[in-house]
Amino acid sequence: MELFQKLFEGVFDLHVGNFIMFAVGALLIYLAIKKDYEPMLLIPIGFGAILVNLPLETLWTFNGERGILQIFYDIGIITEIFPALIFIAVGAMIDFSALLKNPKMIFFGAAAQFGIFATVIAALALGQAFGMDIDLPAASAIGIIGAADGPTSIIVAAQFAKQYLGPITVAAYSYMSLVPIIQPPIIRLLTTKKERLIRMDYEEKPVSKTALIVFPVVITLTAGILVPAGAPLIGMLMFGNLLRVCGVVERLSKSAQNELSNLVTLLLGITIGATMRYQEFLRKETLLILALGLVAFIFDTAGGVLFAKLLNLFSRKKVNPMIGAAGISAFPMAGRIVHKMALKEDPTNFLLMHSISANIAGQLGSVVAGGLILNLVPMLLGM
Amino acid sequence: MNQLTILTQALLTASDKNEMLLAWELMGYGIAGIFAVLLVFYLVIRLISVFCKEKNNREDQ
Repeated sequence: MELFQKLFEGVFDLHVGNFIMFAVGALLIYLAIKKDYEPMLLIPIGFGAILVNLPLETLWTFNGERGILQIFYDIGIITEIFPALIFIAVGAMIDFSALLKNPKMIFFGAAAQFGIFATVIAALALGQAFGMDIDLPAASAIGIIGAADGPTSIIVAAQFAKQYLGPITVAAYSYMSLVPIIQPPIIRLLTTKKERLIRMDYEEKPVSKTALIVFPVVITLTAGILVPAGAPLIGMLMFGNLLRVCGVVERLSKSAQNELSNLVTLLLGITIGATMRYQEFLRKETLLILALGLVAFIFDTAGGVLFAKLLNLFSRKKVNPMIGAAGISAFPMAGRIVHKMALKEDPTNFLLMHSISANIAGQLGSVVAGGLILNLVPMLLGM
Repeated sequence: MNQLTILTQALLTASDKNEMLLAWELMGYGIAGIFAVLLVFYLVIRLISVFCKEKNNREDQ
Protein backbone atom coordinates (compact mmCIF):
# COMPACT_ATOMS: atom_id res chain seq x y z
CA MET A 1 0.00 0.00 0.00
CA GLU A 2 2.85 2.31 0.93
CA LEU A 3 4.60 1.45 -2.32
CA PHE A 4 1.38 2.16 -4.24
CA GLN A 5 1.05 5.56 -2.55
CA LYS A 6 4.69 6.36 -3.25
CA LEU A 7 4.34 5.32 -6.88
CA PHE A 8 1.31 7.52 -7.41
CA GLU A 9 2.16 10.31 -4.95
CA GLY A 10 1.56 12.86 -7.70
CA VAL A 11 -2.04 11.76 -8.04
CA PHE A 12 -2.58 11.72 -4.27
CA ASP A 13 -1.11 15.22 -3.97
CA LEU A 14 -3.69 16.69 -6.35
CA HIS A 15 -6.11 19.23 -4.96
CA VAL A 16 -9.00 21.16 -6.49
CA GLY A 17 -6.76 24.22 -6.43
CA ASN A 18 -4.32 22.53 -8.81
CA PHE A 19 -7.06 22.03 -11.40
CA ILE A 20 -8.33 25.58 -11.04
CA MET A 21 -4.84 26.92 -11.67
CA PHE A 22 -4.39 24.60 -14.66
CA ALA A 23 -7.54 26.22 -16.04
CA VAL A 24 -6.26 29.73 -15.23
CA GLY A 25 -2.98 29.00 -16.98
CA ALA A 26 -4.80 27.56 -19.97
CA LEU A 27 -7.07 30.62 -20.07
CA LEU A 28 -4.08 32.98 -20.17
CA ILE A 29 -2.56 30.93 -22.99
CA TYR A 30 -5.88 30.96 -24.85
CA LEU A 31 -6.22 34.75 -24.47
CA ALA A 32 -2.67 35.20 -25.71
CA ILE A 33 -3.04 33.00 -28.78
CA LYS A 34 -6.67 33.49 -29.81
CA LYS A 35 -7.19 37.13 -28.76
CA ASP A 36 -3.60 38.34 -29.10
CA TYR A 37 -3.55 39.72 -25.52
CA GLU A 38 0.15 40.42 -24.83
CA PRO A 39 1.23 36.97 -26.02
CA MET A 40 4.92 37.60 -25.24
CA LEU A 41 4.06 37.71 -21.54
CA LEU A 42 0.84 35.79 -21.13
CA ILE A 43 2.09 32.59 -22.76
CA PRO A 44 5.09 32.22 -20.41
CA ILE A 45 2.98 33.37 -17.45
CA GLY A 46 0.19 30.93 -18.28
CA PHE A 47 2.57 28.02 -18.78
CA GLY A 48 4.52 28.95 -15.65
CA ALA A 49 1.25 28.84 -13.70
CA ILE A 50 0.59 25.33 -15.00
CA LEU A 51 4.15 24.18 -14.24
CA VAL A 52 4.23 25.45 -10.66
CA ASN A 53 0.86 23.89 -9.85
CA LEU A 54 1.87 20.39 -10.94
CA PRO A 55 1.64 17.92 -8.03
CA LEU A 56 4.41 18.05 -5.41
CA GLU A 57 5.51 21.44 -6.89
CA THR A 58 8.68 19.81 -8.17
CA LEU A 59 9.58 22.86 -10.22
CA TRP A 60 9.45 25.04 -7.10
CA THR A 61 11.19 22.69 -4.64
CA PHE A 62 12.93 19.47 -5.61
CA ASN A 63 14.25 16.99 -3.07
CA GLY A 64 14.23 19.70 -0.42
CA GLU A 65 16.28 22.07 -2.57
CA ARG A 66 15.11 25.03 -4.61
CA GLY A 67 13.58 23.98 -7.90
CA ILE A 68 14.35 25.64 -11.22
CA LEU A 69 11.47 28.12 -11.01
CA GLN A 70 12.41 29.17 -7.48
CA ILE A 71 15.99 29.72 -8.65
CA PHE A 72 14.74 31.95 -11.48
CA TYR A 73 12.55 33.77 -8.95
CA ASP A 74 15.39 34.34 -6.47
CA ILE A 75 17.85 35.40 -9.16
CA GLY A 76 15.55 37.49 -11.31
CA ILE A 77 12.69 38.86 -9.23
CA ILE A 78 14.01 39.20 -5.67
CA THR A 79 17.17 40.87 -6.95
CA GLU A 80 15.09 42.90 -9.49
CA ILE A 81 17.50 41.94 -12.26
CA PHE A 82 14.78 40.87 -14.72
CA PRO A 83 12.80 44.15 -14.61
CA ALA A 84 16.07 46.12 -14.83
CA LEU A 85 17.16 44.21 -17.94
CA ILE A 86 13.71 44.66 -19.48
CA PHE A 87 14.04 48.38 -18.92
CA ILE A 88 17.33 48.44 -20.84
CA ALA A 89 15.49 46.78 -23.71
CA VAL A 90 12.53 49.18 -23.46
CA GLY A 91 14.85 52.19 -23.39
CA ALA A 92 16.58 50.94 -26.52
CA MET A 93 13.22 50.78 -28.27
CA ILE A 94 11.93 54.26 -27.35
CA ASP A 95 12.48 57.28 -29.56
CA PHE A 96 12.27 60.30 -27.26
CA SER A 97 12.54 62.79 -30.14
CA ALA A 98 8.74 63.19 -30.25
CA LEU A 99 8.84 64.39 -26.64
CA LEU A 100 11.89 66.60 -27.22
CA LYS A 101 10.02 68.28 -30.09
CA ASN A 102 6.91 68.83 -27.98
CA PRO A 103 8.03 68.98 -24.33
CA LYS A 104 4.79 70.47 -22.96
CA MET A 105 3.16 67.06 -23.40
CA ILE A 106 5.29 65.81 -20.50
CA PHE A 107 2.69 67.02 -18.00
CA PHE A 108 0.09 64.62 -19.35
CA GLY A 109 2.50 61.87 -18.41
CA ALA A 110 2.12 63.12 -14.83
CA ALA A 111 -1.65 63.57 -14.83
CA ALA A 112 -2.32 60.10 -16.17
CA GLN A 113 -0.66 58.50 -13.11
CA PHE A 114 -3.58 59.64 -10.95
CA GLY A 115 -5.10 56.17 -11.13
CA ILE A 116 -2.21 54.74 -9.11
CA PHE A 117 -3.03 56.79 -6.04
CA ALA A 118 -6.79 56.56 -6.38
CA THR A 119 -6.39 52.78 -6.47
CA VAL A 120 -4.21 52.78 -3.33
CA ILE A 121 -7.08 54.45 -1.48
CA ALA A 122 -9.66 52.12 -3.02
CA ALA A 123 -7.54 49.06 -2.15
CA LEU A 124 -7.21 50.11 1.49
CA ALA A 125 -10.89 50.98 1.78
CA LEU A 126 -12.15 47.81 0.13
CA GLY A 127 -9.63 45.69 1.99
CA GLN A 128 -10.91 47.10 5.24
CA ALA A 129 -14.56 46.81 4.23
CA PHE A 130 -14.18 43.13 3.28
CA GLY A 131 -11.81 42.14 6.05
CA MET A 132 -8.78 41.47 3.85
CA ASP A 133 -5.11 41.60 4.72
CA ILE A 134 -4.20 44.76 2.80
CA ASP A 135 -2.00 47.37 4.44
CA LEU A 136 -0.53 50.53 2.88
CA PRO A 137 2.48 48.82 1.25
CA ALA A 138 0.25 46.12 -0.24
CA ALA A 139 -2.26 48.76 -1.39
CA SER A 140 0.61 50.67 -3.03
CA ALA A 141 1.73 47.51 -4.81
CA ILE A 142 -1.84 47.09 -6.09
CA GLY A 143 -2.08 50.77 -7.03
CA ILE A 144 1.07 50.58 -9.15
CA ILE A 145 -0.89 48.51 -11.66
CA GLY A 146 -2.05 51.96 -12.73
CA ALA A 147 1.48 52.74 -13.89
CA ALA A 148 0.61 50.53 -16.90
CA ASP A 149 4.22 49.43 -16.82
CA GLY A 150 5.11 45.80 -16.20
CA PRO A 151 8.66 46.16 -14.85
CA THR A 152 7.67 49.01 -12.51
CA SER A 153 4.75 46.95 -11.20
CA ILE A 154 7.07 43.98 -10.61
CA ILE A 155 9.68 46.04 -8.76
CA VAL A 156 7.16 47.73 -6.45
CA ALA A 157 5.23 44.51 -5.83
CA ALA A 158 8.47 42.59 -5.10
CA GLN A 159 9.37 45.24 -2.51
CA PHE A 160 6.01 45.73 -0.85
CA ALA A 161 3.80 42.72 -1.45
CA LYS A 162 5.57 39.59 -2.68
CA GLN A 163 2.50 37.54 -1.80
CA TYR A 164 0.50 39.42 -4.46
CA LEU A 165 3.20 39.55 -7.14
CA GLY A 166 1.44 37.01 -9.36
CA PRO A 167 -2.02 38.62 -9.56
CA ILE A 168 -0.55 42.15 -9.73
CA THR A 169 1.63 41.26 -12.72
CA VAL A 170 -1.13 39.33 -14.48
CA ALA A 171 -3.50 42.27 -13.91
CA ALA A 172 -0.93 44.82 -15.15
CA TYR A 173 -0.16 43.02 -18.40
CA SER A 174 -3.75 41.96 -19.06
CA TYR A 175 -5.17 45.45 -18.63
CA MET A 176 -2.37 46.94 -20.74
CA SER A 177 -3.54 44.78 -23.60
CA LEU A 178 -7.15 45.84 -22.92
CA VAL A 179 -6.41 49.58 -23.18
CA PRO A 180 -8.17 49.80 -26.58
CA ILE A 181 -11.35 48.58 -24.86
CA ILE A 182 -11.03 50.42 -21.55
CA GLN A 183 -10.08 53.92 -22.68
CA PRO A 184 -12.55 54.96 -25.42
CA PRO A 185 -15.75 54.79 -23.32
CA ILE A 186 -14.11 56.73 -20.49
CA ILE A 187 -12.84 59.38 -22.92
CA ARG A 188 -16.28 59.73 -24.53
CA LEU A 189 -17.95 59.96 -21.12
CA LEU A 190 -15.71 62.80 -19.95
CA THR A 191 -15.60 64.89 -23.14
CA THR A 192 -18.09 66.64 -25.37
CA LYS A 193 -18.19 66.28 -29.16
CA LYS A 194 -16.96 69.87 -29.46
CA GLU A 195 -13.95 69.09 -27.25
CA ARG A 196 -13.09 65.97 -29.22
CA LEU A 197 -13.00 68.07 -32.40
CA ILE A 198 -10.39 70.52 -31.06
CA ARG A 199 -7.44 70.80 -33.40
CA MET A 200 -3.92 71.26 -32.17
CA ASP A 201 -1.19 72.93 -34.22
CA TYR A 202 1.99 71.03 -34.69
CA GLU A 203 5.26 72.71 -35.50
CA GLU A 204 8.06 70.41 -36.59
CA LYS A 205 11.09 71.35 -34.47
CA PRO A 206 14.36 69.70 -35.42
CA VAL A 207 16.10 67.78 -32.67
CA SER A 208 19.86 67.45 -32.90
CA LYS A 209 21.70 64.21 -32.39
CA THR A 210 23.57 65.90 -29.53
CA ALA A 211 20.29 66.65 -27.79
CA LEU A 212 19.19 63.03 -28.16
CA ILE A 213 22.50 61.85 -26.63
CA VAL A 214 22.59 64.39 -23.80
CA PHE A 215 18.95 63.72 -22.85
CA PRO A 216 19.32 60.22 -21.31
CA VAL A 217 22.47 61.20 -19.41
CA VAL A 218 21.02 64.38 -17.93
CA ILE A 219 17.67 62.78 -17.10
CA THR A 220 19.45 59.93 -15.28
CA LEU A 221 21.44 62.41 -13.21
CA THR A 222 18.35 64.51 -12.48
CA ALA A 223 16.12 61.59 -11.57
CA GLY A 224 18.85 59.93 -9.53
CA ILE A 225 19.22 63.06 -7.43
CA LEU A 226 15.51 63.88 -7.08
CA VAL A 227 14.10 60.34 -6.71
CA PRO A 228 16.94 58.02 -5.61
CA ALA A 229 14.64 55.00 -5.22
CA GLY A 230 13.68 55.40 -8.87
CA ALA A 231 17.29 55.47 -10.06
CA PRO A 232 17.43 51.73 -10.95
CA LEU A 233 14.31 52.14 -13.09
CA ILE A 234 15.16 55.40 -14.83
CA GLY A 235 18.85 54.59 -15.02
CA MET A 236 18.32 51.33 -16.90
CA LEU A 237 15.70 52.93 -19.17
CA MET A 238 18.05 55.76 -20.08
CA PHE A 239 21.03 53.43 -20.48
CA GLY A 240 19.08 51.49 -23.09
CA ASN A 241 18.11 54.73 -24.77
CA LEU A 242 21.71 55.92 -24.87
CA LEU A 243 22.71 52.68 -26.60
CA ARG A 244 20.08 53.49 -29.24
CA VAL A 245 20.86 57.16 -29.86
CA CYS A 246 24.64 57.33 -29.62
CA GLY A 247 24.97 55.61 -33.00
CA VAL A 248 28.28 53.88 -32.25
CA VAL A 249 27.05 50.69 -30.59
CA GLU A 250 24.53 49.49 -33.13
CA ARG A 251 25.14 45.84 -32.19
CA LEU A 252 24.48 46.50 -28.51
CA SER A 253 21.37 48.50 -29.34
CA LYS A 254 20.04 45.75 -31.62
CA SER A 255 20.86 43.09 -29.04
CA ALA A 256 19.07 45.06 -26.33
CA GLN A 257 16.00 45.51 -28.51
CA ASN A 258 15.91 41.89 -29.65
CA GLU A 259 17.91 39.17 -27.92
CA LEU A 260 17.96 40.74 -24.46
CA SER A 261 14.31 41.74 -24.60
CA ASN A 262 13.17 38.34 -25.84
CA LEU A 263 15.31 36.28 -23.48
CA VAL A 264 14.42 38.22 -20.36
CA THR A 265 10.74 38.43 -21.31
CA LEU A 266 10.70 34.65 -21.63
CA LEU A 267 12.35 34.07 -18.24
CA LEU A 268 10.39 36.86 -16.54
CA GLY A 269 7.09 35.53 -17.79
CA ILE A 270 7.64 31.97 -16.69
CA THR A 271 8.93 33.18 -13.30
CA ILE A 272 5.88 35.37 -12.74
CA GLY A 273 3.75 32.35 -13.60
CA ALA A 274 5.70 30.46 -10.96
CA THR A 275 4.39 32.84 -8.28
CA MET A 276 0.84 31.69 -9.03
CA ARG A 277 0.74 28.67 -6.75
CA TYR A 278 -2.86 27.90 -5.89
CA GLN A 279 -2.29 28.35 -2.15
CA GLU A 280 -1.33 31.97 -2.79
CA PHE A 281 -3.37 32.81 -5.88
CA LEU A 282 -6.79 31.45 -4.99
CA ARG A 283 -7.74 34.01 -2.40
CA LYS A 284 -10.34 36.78 -2.31
CA GLU A 285 -7.46 39.27 -2.45
CA THR A 286 -6.71 38.05 -5.99
CA LEU A 287 -10.20 38.90 -7.18
CA LEU A 288 -9.93 42.30 -5.54
CA ILE A 289 -6.58 42.94 -7.24
CA LEU A 290 -7.97 41.99 -10.65
CA ALA A 291 -10.94 44.33 -10.11
CA LEU A 292 -8.77 47.17 -8.83
CA GLY A 293 -6.49 46.89 -11.85
CA LEU A 294 -9.42 47.97 -13.99
CA VAL A 295 -10.18 50.80 -11.55
CA ALA A 296 -6.57 51.97 -11.86
CA PHE A 297 -6.71 52.20 -15.64
CA ILE A 298 -10.09 53.97 -15.56
CA PHE A 299 -8.82 56.59 -13.11
CA ASP A 300 -5.59 57.01 -15.10
CA THR A 301 -7.61 57.81 -18.22
CA ALA A 302 -9.94 60.09 -16.30
CA GLY A 303 -7.02 61.86 -14.62
CA GLY A 304 -5.34 62.66 -17.93
CA VAL A 305 -8.53 63.83 -19.65
CA LEU A 306 -9.67 65.98 -16.73
CA PHE A 307 -6.22 67.57 -16.46
CA ALA A 308 -6.42 68.58 -20.10
CA LYS A 309 -9.89 70.06 -19.53
CA LEU A 310 -8.51 71.97 -16.52
CA LEU A 311 -5.70 73.38 -18.67
CA ASN A 312 -8.26 74.53 -21.23
CA LEU A 313 -9.93 76.71 -18.59
CA PHE A 314 -6.78 78.81 -18.30
CA SER A 315 -5.19 78.48 -21.69
CA ARG A 316 -6.00 80.36 -24.88
CA LYS A 317 -4.51 77.62 -27.04
CA LYS A 318 -6.88 74.76 -26.39
CA VAL A 319 -5.74 71.20 -25.91
CA ASN A 320 -7.83 68.34 -27.21
CA PRO A 321 -8.71 66.62 -23.89
CA MET A 322 -8.34 63.18 -25.45
CA ILE A 323 -4.57 63.79 -25.44
CA GLY A 324 -4.67 63.45 -21.64
CA ALA A 325 -5.65 59.80 -21.99
CA ALA A 326 -2.52 59.16 -24.05
CA GLY A 327 -0.40 60.00 -20.99
CA ILE A 328 -0.55 56.46 -19.64
CA SER A 329 2.48 54.30 -20.13
CA ALA A 330 0.89 51.73 -22.48
CA PHE A 331 3.10 52.64 -25.44
CA PRO A 332 2.26 53.02 -28.29
CA MET A 333 -1.29 51.79 -27.87
CA ALA A 334 -2.67 54.73 -25.90
CA GLY A 335 -1.23 57.23 -28.37
CA ARG A 336 -2.70 55.37 -31.34
CA ILE A 337 -6.12 55.01 -29.70
CA VAL A 338 -6.40 58.76 -29.15
CA HIS A 339 -5.24 59.45 -32.71
CA LYS A 340 -7.84 57.02 -34.10
CA MET A 341 -10.62 58.50 -31.97
CA ALA A 342 -9.74 61.98 -33.24
CA LEU A 343 -9.80 60.77 -36.85
CA LYS A 344 -13.17 59.13 -36.24
CA GLU A 345 -14.59 62.47 -35.08
CA ASP A 346 -12.91 64.40 -37.90
CA PRO A 347 -10.91 62.59 -40.60
CA THR A 348 -8.74 65.68 -41.06
CA ASN A 349 -7.73 66.07 -37.42
CA PHE A 350 -4.29 64.49 -36.98
CA LEU A 351 -3.28 64.30 -33.34
CA LEU A 352 -0.73 61.51 -33.68
CA MET A 353 2.40 63.59 -32.94
CA HIS A 354 0.81 65.09 -29.84
CA SER A 355 -0.63 61.83 -28.59
CA ILE A 356 2.63 59.94 -29.12
CA SER A 357 4.54 62.70 -27.26
CA ALA A 358 2.10 62.37 -24.35
CA ASN A 359 2.41 58.58 -24.49
CA ILE A 360 6.21 58.77 -24.31
CA ALA A 361 5.84 61.19 -21.39
CA GLY A 362 3.74 58.52 -19.73
CA GLN A 363 6.72 56.17 -19.82
CA LEU A 364 8.71 58.71 -17.81
CA GLY A 365 5.76 59.50 -15.56
CA SER A 366 5.17 55.86 -14.65
CA VAL A 367 8.80 55.24 -13.79
CA VAL A 368 8.91 58.42 -11.66
CA ALA A 369 5.68 57.34 -9.96
CA GLY A 370 7.20 53.96 -9.14
CA GLY A 371 10.30 55.59 -7.69
CA LEU A 372 8.25 58.03 -5.63
CA ILE A 373 6.08 55.27 -4.20
CA LEU A 374 9.22 53.30 -3.23
CA ASN A 375 10.48 56.45 -1.48
CA LEU A 376 7.27 57.74 0.06
CA VAL A 377 5.63 54.64 1.53
CA PRO A 378 8.48 53.74 3.94
CA MET A 379 8.82 57.43 4.77
CA LEU A 380 5.11 57.76 5.63
CA LEU A 381 5.19 54.58 7.69
CA GLY A 382 8.19 55.85 9.58
CA MET A 383 10.45 53.02 8.47
CA MET B 1 -24.07 48.52 9.30
CA ASN B 2 -24.08 47.70 5.60
CA GLN B 3 -21.02 47.33 3.44
CA LEU B 4 -21.57 50.71 1.75
CA THR B 5 -21.51 52.53 5.08
CA ILE B 6 -18.39 50.69 6.13
CA LEU B 7 -16.77 51.55 2.80
CA THR B 8 -17.68 55.24 3.07
CA GLN B 9 -16.35 55.44 6.60
CA ALA B 10 -13.19 53.65 5.53
CA LEU B 11 -12.64 56.17 2.70
CA LEU B 12 -13.01 59.18 4.97
CA THR B 13 -11.52 58.16 8.29
CA ALA B 14 -8.38 56.59 9.59
CA SER B 15 -8.26 52.90 10.26
CA ASP B 16 -6.70 51.55 13.45
CA LYS B 17 -3.27 51.99 11.93
CA ASN B 18 -4.07 55.47 10.54
CA GLU B 19 -3.29 54.06 7.13
CA MET B 20 -6.16 55.70 5.28
CA LEU B 21 -4.87 59.14 6.26
CA LEU B 22 -1.42 58.05 5.10
CA ALA B 23 -2.93 56.91 1.79
CA TRP B 24 -4.43 60.36 1.23
CA GLU B 25 -1.08 61.88 2.11
CA LEU B 26 0.59 59.51 -0.35
CA MET B 27 -1.78 60.73 -3.04
CA GLY B 28 -1.01 64.36 -2.27
CA TYR B 29 2.75 63.96 -2.11
CA GLY B 30 2.79 61.47 -4.94
CA ILE B 31 0.90 63.55 -7.50
CA ALA B 32 2.71 66.73 -6.47
CA GLY B 33 6.00 64.86 -6.62
CA ILE B 34 5.39 63.48 -10.11
CA PHE B 35 4.44 66.92 -11.42
CA ALA B 36 7.45 68.49 -9.72
CA VAL B 37 9.89 65.94 -11.13
CA LEU B 38 8.40 66.15 -14.61
CA LEU B 39 8.52 69.95 -14.40
CA VAL B 40 12.25 69.63 -13.77
CA PHE B 41 12.50 67.23 -16.73
CA TYR B 42 10.61 69.77 -18.85
CA LEU B 43 13.07 72.50 -17.91
CA VAL B 44 15.95 70.14 -18.62
CA ILE B 45 14.52 69.39 -22.06
CA ARG B 46 14.14 73.11 -22.79
CA LEU B 47 17.75 73.70 -21.74
CA ILE B 48 18.96 70.81 -23.88
CA SER B 49 17.01 72.21 -26.83
CA VAL B 50 18.69 75.61 -26.36
CA PHE B 51 22.26 74.39 -25.89
CA CYS B 52 22.21 71.44 -28.28
CA LYS B 53 20.67 72.96 -31.39
CA GLU B 54 20.96 71.46 -34.86
CA LYS B 55 24.23 72.53 -36.54
CA ASN B 56 22.35 74.27 -39.41
CA ASN B 57 20.24 76.33 -37.02
CA ARG B 58 23.28 77.48 -35.12
CA GLU B 59 25.17 78.46 -38.31
CA ASP B 60 22.16 80.45 -39.58
CA GLN B 61 22.21 82.42 -36.36
